[in-house]
Amino acid sequence: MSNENVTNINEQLKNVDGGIDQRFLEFTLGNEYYAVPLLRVKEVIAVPQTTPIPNAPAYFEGIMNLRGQVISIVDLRKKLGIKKREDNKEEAVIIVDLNPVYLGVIVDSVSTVLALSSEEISPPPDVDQKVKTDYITGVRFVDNKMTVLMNIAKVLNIKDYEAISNEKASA
Amino acid sequence: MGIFLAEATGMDEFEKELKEGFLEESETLLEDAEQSLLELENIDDDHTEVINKLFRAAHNLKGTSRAVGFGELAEFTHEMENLILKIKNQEMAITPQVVTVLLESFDQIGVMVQGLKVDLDASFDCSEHVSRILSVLEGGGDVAEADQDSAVQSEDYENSPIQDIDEDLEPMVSLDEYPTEEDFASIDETQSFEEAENKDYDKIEATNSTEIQESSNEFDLSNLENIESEGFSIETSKQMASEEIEEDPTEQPSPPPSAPRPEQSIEEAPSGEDEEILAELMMVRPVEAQTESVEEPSLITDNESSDFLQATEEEPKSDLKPEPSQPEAKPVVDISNKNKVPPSSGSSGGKSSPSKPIDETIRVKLSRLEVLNNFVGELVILQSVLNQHRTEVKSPIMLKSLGQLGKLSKEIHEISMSLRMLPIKPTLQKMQRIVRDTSRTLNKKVNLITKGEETEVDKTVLEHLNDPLTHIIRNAVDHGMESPEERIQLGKPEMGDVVLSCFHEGNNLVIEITDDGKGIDPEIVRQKAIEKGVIKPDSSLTDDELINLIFHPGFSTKSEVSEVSGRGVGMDVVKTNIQNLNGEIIVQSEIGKGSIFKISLPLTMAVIDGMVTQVGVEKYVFPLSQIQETLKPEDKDVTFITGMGSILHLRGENLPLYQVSDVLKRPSGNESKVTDQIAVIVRNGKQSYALLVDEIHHQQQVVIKSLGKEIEKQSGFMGTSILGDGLPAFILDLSNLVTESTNNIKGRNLKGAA
Repeated sequence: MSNENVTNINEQLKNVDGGIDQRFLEFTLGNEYYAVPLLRVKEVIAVPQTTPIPNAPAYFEGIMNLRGQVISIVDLRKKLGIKKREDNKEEAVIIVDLNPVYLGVIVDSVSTVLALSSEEISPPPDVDQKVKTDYITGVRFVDNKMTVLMNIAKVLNIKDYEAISNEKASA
Repeated sequence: MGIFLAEATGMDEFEKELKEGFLEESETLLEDAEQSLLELENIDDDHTEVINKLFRAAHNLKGTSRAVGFGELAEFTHEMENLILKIKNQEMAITPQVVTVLLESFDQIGVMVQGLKVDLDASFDCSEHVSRILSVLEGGGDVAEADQDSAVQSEDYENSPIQDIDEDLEPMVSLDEYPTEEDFASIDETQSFEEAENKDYDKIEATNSTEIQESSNEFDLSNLENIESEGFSIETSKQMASEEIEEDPTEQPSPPPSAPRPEQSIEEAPSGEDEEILAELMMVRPVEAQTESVEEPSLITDNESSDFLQATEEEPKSDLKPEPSQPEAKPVVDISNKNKVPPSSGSSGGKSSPSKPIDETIRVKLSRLEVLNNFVGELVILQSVLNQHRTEVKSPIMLKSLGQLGKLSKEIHEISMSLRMLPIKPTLQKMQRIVRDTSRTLNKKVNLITKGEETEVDKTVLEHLNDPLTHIIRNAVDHGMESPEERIQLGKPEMGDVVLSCFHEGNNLVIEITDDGKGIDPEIVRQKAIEKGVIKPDSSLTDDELINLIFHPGFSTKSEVSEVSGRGVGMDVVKTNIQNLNGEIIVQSEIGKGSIFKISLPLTMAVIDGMVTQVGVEKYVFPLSQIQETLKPEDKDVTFITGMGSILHLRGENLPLYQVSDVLKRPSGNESKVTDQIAVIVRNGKQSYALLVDEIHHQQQVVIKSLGKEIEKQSGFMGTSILGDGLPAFILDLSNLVTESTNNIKGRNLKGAA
């Protein structure tokens, strides 16, 4: 993602007025649209250089230096099994505050800030799930476009912290 | 939702802030209070000041806790305040038992405060403590038996009619307020004396005077434990008594409450009182002895005080008169106090820091400091990047500014680091308490001497210092110190010394715990170590090495379990704690002379000396403190044994050899052979092994950043740091890197190993 775009999005983030609780930051993973509550989003940055984390699950991309703060970067595409876009110049990292953890999330692109009313949000479709999808808090379907509202903390839930140590233990 | 939130939190937030503010403050108050209490016991001069301080602390706690809505806390503090008030009004003696109860009460408040910190609505059951306070308040008597007869006696007196006397006593309070030392000789005194006398008489009539209590205070304060040792003939003292008494007071300033009384009361008592009492008064004065001891210029107040104790104690005991004798017992004690005051107050001034110029302080959240430190750390890194590219700068002004910027950022860095530094004093004070409690439990006589209280230590280090220090100190008192009888037999002073000294040595903080106990016998350690399979029977170790085996994890001293130490938390835990702080601990010991535990710690947790290495494409930082040496292995040094993996032969020792890249499951460098790599020899309490890295870049101080929650469970890393290239790197935790799981790596077959 170009620096201009990043700046743009960050401007948008700043200028959101009023109740941002109903606002979401929409982004893409592969060709799918997802969104997270704007409340959680600290900023969007270009993909930084990272240092890999030994013995961590594959979707832990590494750690980065965010102005002196060391932050883990995760690749949601790897976590959710989504094929990343080829030759993608719009890749970006969304820094989310999952209190108390700060985390960077790599996405294929950041699209826009959505302001949604409750009516626009439908409950997650009742699919016969083989995969756990409890991280989906709702969906929005407009103009043939489906956006999945997700709870990042749940995508990377506590079990994942344990996963790291388990993996290590079983090594 | 946003609005709702705001509203909901509005009130709560305010209240919460109040409460949290109180909790933070109360911690300081509690620390002060504990210190004051210990002073009460330790220094046998004037306690008015200290008691007032205590009272204020308790009062403060009570008032504020009630104000912010911690009802239970307020209730409890109220009970405690009552007790302190009694002491303040001299209606109650400061016996060790009272001090213990007070200490426990403050502890309980501490527990409550901690609990409230976690949950503002927490509720506590203090009934047990309250009842203890009450029992002291009412009975006094039952509390005291434990220590010495003297204590018991004094209590008896306390018990009975004290309450009746209360009103009469009130004037006494004013005495308390008398300035301590200087005014002594002034006219005020005489007035106060008169008051005192009058009161005295009242009390005497009542047969249990507050005076008695006072005197008993004195006893307790001074170290009761020495009493038995020294005998003291009462008769001689009787003779000398009267004159001595008259003279002494004038010579020296005295503590306020008691000061006025001694001479006057004696002189005038006769006139104002029955002859009997007078007679008795005259009879029972061990003043002589006291004056003698006083004359010795020594600061060793303990001894002196014990003498006094004795003297005073003995009077009642010895056939003499039961109650009436007490009134004069008091004067005696007072005098002794006076005499002592000058020396001891001097020394105590040093110790207990009553009045120091106060530097204004503000409270800042640690998290804010950390943010600041983060940015400053970043600034320093940027600075080093700039410096690396200095040569590209042509403009002289730019160059100059760069240089200045460098200096500035260095200074800012130093300051920001120093913000986390705190004096070690509070931690040492806690140790006073440990020694007190431990030695009491064990009936040993141990004096803790602390040095270097103002030494500054990083807050994080400080927090982690408590447990290991407590452990070592307890051990020193429990295992190290002989019983008083043994000590006397050995010709050592009955009172054992544990010296706790702190100082800076280079970039390290050094804490030495020295005791003059029996020392550690290397032979016993050897036997035990062989027994436990820690060493082989035929291993030849020096005495020092043997002694340091006590830190070995397999070496538990369980056979010596006692109430105080030896609860299965071995010295290995101490060592691990210290190592987690990147420090080290060694022990030296001489049989019969005592032991020295020396702990060296980095001044700050935030910065460590690190060695930056290359493993594959990544850099890893090794903490220098855990590295013994580095070497370039040759083919002949490395053997691969199926089932054991690679072994490095180092001067007759066989060390397991690991590729760091294997341990971390990272791609290794390009086809590197062992002989192209560098072996880092790691030795820590648990293990010795060798790690192969591709390259060693340099050594530098690195700023440690803690691992984020999401990866903090990763063992093998103690944190991360941002290196000069701006990229974060992991700092290896060498004591947890090679664990059982990694140890079993099947293919520890290293390229190049035959």
